[in-house]
Amino acid sequence: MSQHVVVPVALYQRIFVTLIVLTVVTVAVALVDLGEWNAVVALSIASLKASLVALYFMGLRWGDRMTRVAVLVALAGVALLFGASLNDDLTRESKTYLPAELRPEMLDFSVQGLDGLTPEVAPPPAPPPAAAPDTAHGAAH
Amino acid sequence: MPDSHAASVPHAHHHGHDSHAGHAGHAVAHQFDDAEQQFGAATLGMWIFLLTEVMFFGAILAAYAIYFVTYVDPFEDASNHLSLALGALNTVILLTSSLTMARAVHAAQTADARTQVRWLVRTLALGAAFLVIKAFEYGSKFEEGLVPGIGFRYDGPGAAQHELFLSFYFALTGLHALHMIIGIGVLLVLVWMARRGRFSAAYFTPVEMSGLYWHFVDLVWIFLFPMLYLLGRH
Repeated sequence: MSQHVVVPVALYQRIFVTLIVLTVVTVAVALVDLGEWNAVVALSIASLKASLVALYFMGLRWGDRMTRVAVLVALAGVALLFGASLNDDLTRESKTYLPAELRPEMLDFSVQGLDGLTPEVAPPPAPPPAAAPDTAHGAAH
Repeated sequence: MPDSHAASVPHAHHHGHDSHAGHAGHAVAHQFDDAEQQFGAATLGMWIFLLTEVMFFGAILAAYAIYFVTYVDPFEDASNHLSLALGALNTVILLTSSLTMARAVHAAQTADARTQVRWLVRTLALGAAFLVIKAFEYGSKFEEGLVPGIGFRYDGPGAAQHELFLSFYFALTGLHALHMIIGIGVLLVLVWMARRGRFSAAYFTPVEMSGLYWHFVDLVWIFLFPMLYLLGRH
């Protein structure tokens, strides 16, 4: 059962100050070149800020079990959405859904030493069987 | 209506009229045992609605993430079309509005109608300030020819990817702004209700539920700001 929790104003203010500090930090870090880590740091700080908003401003910290289940379902959905989509997209040999002139160079996921084992070109599809299977089919009946 | 039930909810008025404005009691719908259970149901319903909103924004953000990992460099360049100062200012404004919204809920629980209205109006004003700044940002994009499809004039390297980035920018911030506009409409209703003395420590469900919505819209912006504005600053 949900409880009516009266959160002290001082706690709200502390969370607010933390959120502002984290905003300053995320802007400051964005100005420094960390390569791929820029995006990781930015998303980590955003997740931390979002958690503070959800836990304290939205009162999830004092929420009942059903509310927590709803939030876990949302998080699982987002994880599936991003995980499955990016897993597909990042492991494609070519992004054939893009126009050829906009197709970027792809990351090389081929494993060294296995190159000789995989055929360069897929074998052409077998020619459609002509009369022989038909007669066999007919004979079977 | 069984007598025992009526007795357990002494303040319930069964017709929902506002004849007892300022009264601590509030109608408990007959499917609920008590006000506490009704509040729990409202809270869960609101969170499930927000769950659908997570999926709604999540789908667009996932598409955006895929194009970002596909076109990292052009997207980082295109990100610099946006104003870091205005984006950061709007972040601070929205975070502040979340604080004032939390104070509005607190006021509904503990204070009189005038205090409730004061915090609601502050939240509303900050939300409006956010939208005004957003409107200036959009205006400058029109002037600079950076609106996809409508006289898009940028022709530097990776123009197609820049246009794609800006399409996501307008889709994401536009949907977010739409949520802000709806939030302001909700706040106007709350101000009207608070003035009529509808909220008290015993009943403040609309303030609390609207607060959840307002904080959620803030939460979406917390992700939009770094993902759109901060990509290419290094």
